[in-house]
Amino acid sequence: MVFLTEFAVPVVASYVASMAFALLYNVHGKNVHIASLCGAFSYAVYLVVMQFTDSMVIPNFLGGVVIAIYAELAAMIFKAPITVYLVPGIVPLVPGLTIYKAMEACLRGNLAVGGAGVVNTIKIGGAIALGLILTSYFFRLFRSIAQKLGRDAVCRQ
Amino acid sequence: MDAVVKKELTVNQVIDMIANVGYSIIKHGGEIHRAEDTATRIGLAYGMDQVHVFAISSTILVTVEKDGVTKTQNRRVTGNSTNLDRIEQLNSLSRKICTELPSYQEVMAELRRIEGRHCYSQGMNVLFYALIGGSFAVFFGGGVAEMIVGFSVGALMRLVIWLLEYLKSASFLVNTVGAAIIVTTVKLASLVYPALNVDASISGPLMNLVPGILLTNCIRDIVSADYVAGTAKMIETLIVACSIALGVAVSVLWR
Repeated sequence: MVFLTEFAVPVVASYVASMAFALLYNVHGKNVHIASLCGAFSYAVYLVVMQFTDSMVIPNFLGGVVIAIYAELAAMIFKAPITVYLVPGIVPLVPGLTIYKAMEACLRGNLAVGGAGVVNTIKIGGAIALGLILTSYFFRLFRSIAQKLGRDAVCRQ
Repeated sequence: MDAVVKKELTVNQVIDMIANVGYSIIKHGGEIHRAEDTATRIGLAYGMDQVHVFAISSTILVTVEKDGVTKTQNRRVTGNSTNLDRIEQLNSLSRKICTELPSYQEVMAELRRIEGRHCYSQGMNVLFYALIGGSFAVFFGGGVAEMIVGFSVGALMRLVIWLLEYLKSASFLVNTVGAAIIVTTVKLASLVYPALNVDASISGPLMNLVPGILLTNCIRDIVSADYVAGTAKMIETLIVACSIALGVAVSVLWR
């Protein structure tokens, strides 16, 4: 029962949320489901990592890494630009509840809670972005290594 | 064969093509890095000696040089909106340009075809907003009641936003009114059904407005050394956050 409410329901919800964002951003065809799986998968990793740490940064960072690896691989396999998978994939990790609670606390004059919320938002956003960017640099490195070795590197931009 | 095709294009045609492709990529929410990279590749593929591209989310500036002739064009980008289908099409177009070097008319016809591609209808967008609201309400710990509230509030908000956009209202006002509608309707619903999880039901539909992707892209731009584009996005994020906070401020009325 705990598994159901704490894991399965949020993961399914994150799948639907990613799908709705993918559709809102006008993704067509099979890419809709590939992009939604990216969101659900990274959120599942996030939830598992959450069990092992109290830190807010590490699960978000690893979530970002998983999104980027998934999206890079999907972009290579399905020959689409990586943004198509990246943007819907990020959606479940976006700290919406944290932002809302910070806003409300600030409005009610509770600056201690509100300020901490703002800092947490920047921390989470930064962790996700760093996970994405670090992974994409590694992929760029692998690609140029593959080119240097004279292999037929996958043509993409 | 390649040399013949390259000769057919004048510097003016190449720069026009580059500026148009770059413009479309930025307008439809592609990364700055992608726009600059694609434009440079196309220019070099058509045999230009030098190609310099500078882009931020509101403008793109292109300079090409060939045999001592230098040309510069600039495009102002307004009304940016993320459209991943267009980005995908533009990506395959630029790949095609770099490998096949098609004629100027062919590329322009292809660009027009991409701009005219099917988008989801307004009615479908109402459904997507509702789905985002409902699924995030569950995601933030809500149950069936929160899902229903989030779903209907999302749909209602999209209808109002649609009206405001039709009236060409400023996006600041759109966000403020959207957030105020969410907070007001959810608080009213909690009067009818006191057991409602208000936080989950509000932040679910609010995810439609929250600039999370903008924030992440802003940090990505800054980390990949596009500082001007990144700073502009950071300020945009702040303004969007302020506009939403102003709408959320309606909740103070219930205290």
